[in-house]
Amino acid sequence: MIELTRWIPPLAYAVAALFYLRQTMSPVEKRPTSVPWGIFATGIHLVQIVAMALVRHRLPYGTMWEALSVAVAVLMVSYMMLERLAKSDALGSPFLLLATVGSAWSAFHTEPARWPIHVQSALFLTHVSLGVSGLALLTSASLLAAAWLWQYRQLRARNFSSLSRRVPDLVTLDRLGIASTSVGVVLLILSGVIGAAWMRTFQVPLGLALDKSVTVSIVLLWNVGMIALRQNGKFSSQTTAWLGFAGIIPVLLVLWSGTRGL
Amino acid sequence: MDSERRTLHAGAVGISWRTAPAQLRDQCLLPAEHADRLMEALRGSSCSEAMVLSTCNRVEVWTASEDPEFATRSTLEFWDKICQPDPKWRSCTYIFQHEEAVDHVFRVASSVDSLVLGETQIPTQVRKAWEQARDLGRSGPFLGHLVQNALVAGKRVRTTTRLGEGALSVSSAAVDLARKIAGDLSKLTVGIVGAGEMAELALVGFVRGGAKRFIYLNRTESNAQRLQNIHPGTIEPLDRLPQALTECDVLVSATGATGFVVTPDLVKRAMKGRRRPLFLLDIAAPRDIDPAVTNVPGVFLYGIDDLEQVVEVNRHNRSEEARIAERIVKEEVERFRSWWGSLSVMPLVARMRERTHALARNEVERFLPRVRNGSPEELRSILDDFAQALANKFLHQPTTQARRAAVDGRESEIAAALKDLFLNGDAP
Repeated sequence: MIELTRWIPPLAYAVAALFYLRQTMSPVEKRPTSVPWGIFATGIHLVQIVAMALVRHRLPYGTMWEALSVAVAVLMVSYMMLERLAKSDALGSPFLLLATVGSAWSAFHTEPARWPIHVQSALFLTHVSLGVSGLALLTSASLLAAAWLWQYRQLRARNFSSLSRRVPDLVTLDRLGIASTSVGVVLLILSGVIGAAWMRTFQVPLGLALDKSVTVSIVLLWNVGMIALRQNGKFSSQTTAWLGFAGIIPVLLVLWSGTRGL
Repeated sequence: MDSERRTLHAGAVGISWRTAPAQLRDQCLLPAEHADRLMEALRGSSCSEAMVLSTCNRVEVWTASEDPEFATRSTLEFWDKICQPDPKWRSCTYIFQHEEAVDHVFRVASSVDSLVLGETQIPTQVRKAWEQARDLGRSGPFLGHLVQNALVAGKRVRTTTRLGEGALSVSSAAVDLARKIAGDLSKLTVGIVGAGEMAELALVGFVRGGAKRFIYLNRTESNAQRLQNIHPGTIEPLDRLPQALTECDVLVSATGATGFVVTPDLVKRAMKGRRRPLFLLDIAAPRDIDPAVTNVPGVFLYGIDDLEQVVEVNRHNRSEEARIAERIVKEEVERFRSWWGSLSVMPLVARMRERTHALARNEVERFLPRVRNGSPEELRSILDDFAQALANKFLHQPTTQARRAAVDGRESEIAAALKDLFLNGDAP
């Protein structure tokens, strides 16, 4: 029965996405967000994660699919913060649609057959928690970059649509995108360091995490390079946004490699 | 009122944001000296009165003439000679005559026809245009009354509807756009090139929008001082524009220059190594900023025309208020038409009053010798005779004409007129 609850988060996110979408498409200029559907859906998801952990007597990191579910929850928490910072709910539907896909993808996969001792350590918990948070923030940065590029094109084309009015301004999107990337990179570096310490402590063979290590390194190189060159004035906001948007690819590679590894 | 006024007809010829792009409107602009030339030229072509309204959104010539068709032809001809715009400009003009012209003037002055519904700039612009014509001796009673009544209609629209509430004036629409591109205005540096009325309006818009840091660029420091009186800022000479561009997040250009003030090269240099977007707003007529600057990445250039879409949503949301405003304008137009219609009998009324006063004066002269030495009883009898004689004199003409009309078979017609004039419409 508890296994069926895995489907509650994607359903909740889908419903919330529909409400956000309807709200975004509403022709009324000033419409109040009467029901915080995003917060409800995220809250339900977090409760589901905790409930599963309690029932299974273990952390929700049995597989990369479980970690993906946590990453989705972290992504939505970060979005809720972004919504407050940007004072706009126009990005709610794409975030929630991504959360729907992510949580549904996770729900398709069952729990692992075993739960070895070495993954029950505090080091592993910290490593994965920081990792999923970092990846969630980088995904968030990628979506913000996409929003920036869309808004940039709209404004350059002098297309002052209702949606364009609701999407945050370029400077805010840029600032939030860079902040998400920066924090995401820091979390991912910390995760990597702690992950290395965990592997050393439990003598986990490097071969088991090789794919993941390589893909995480690509993610870090991509984002660190992007920020450094941007700070150096080599990249314009537009180039940064394109690179930020394309940053979703290495993140997906980490996910792909993770599902194949430990 | 002389007989000439009875035969005057309104005419309006113009080109506006509805019919022509900014580039073509720029070519048709009639700044003060050109407007004077046109009004003078029309003086000799049966146009009793003429005035020119030239704003960033429209250029119009309003006339009062006996032959509005001829006045229109003359207006277009002189306008063409003075401005020499692109030949296709005539296909972008609109022409209103007679009642349609009156209706149009009211709609313009009430900002119902404005790019930004309910905007507050147009009444001032109309008033100034009328004052210019008046000072030149080209605005008489017709245009005077027309404009005054139209402005009254505008005031009624603004005070009794919510059309102007939150209305995006051209500058406040620009402020919204600037915010969309550059973010929180309080953290931005806004450069304002020029110190004219449009520059002032833009400044007020940005101050209201929350902007705090300003750079005023102008050829004349004393003019820029006016802007500084509205809000503190740094005054720079216009040749410091390249440096100012690197500092500014927003640059509003509203000079009276005939060529481009901001060029692509200037903007390219300013954008070198810069990550922040640059918002350029050209509200000058003719335009100050070369449209080619949009090829520079990170640069957003908007002109008056571009604001049309920004205000479109505003227009849609206020359609109900617009309907109320249209009704008010219609009422005020009717009031003006009634007043103007009444003018056709005014010369007759004036002659009637003149004749009556002359009769009264003659009777006074005739009775005066009898009054000088009379006792109070005699005085009463004299006044009685005087009143009778005066009444007979007044009624002699109508009575004679009534009898003559009856003989001619027009008794019902004259009876109705007499009832209206002397019996307050009551049956005898």
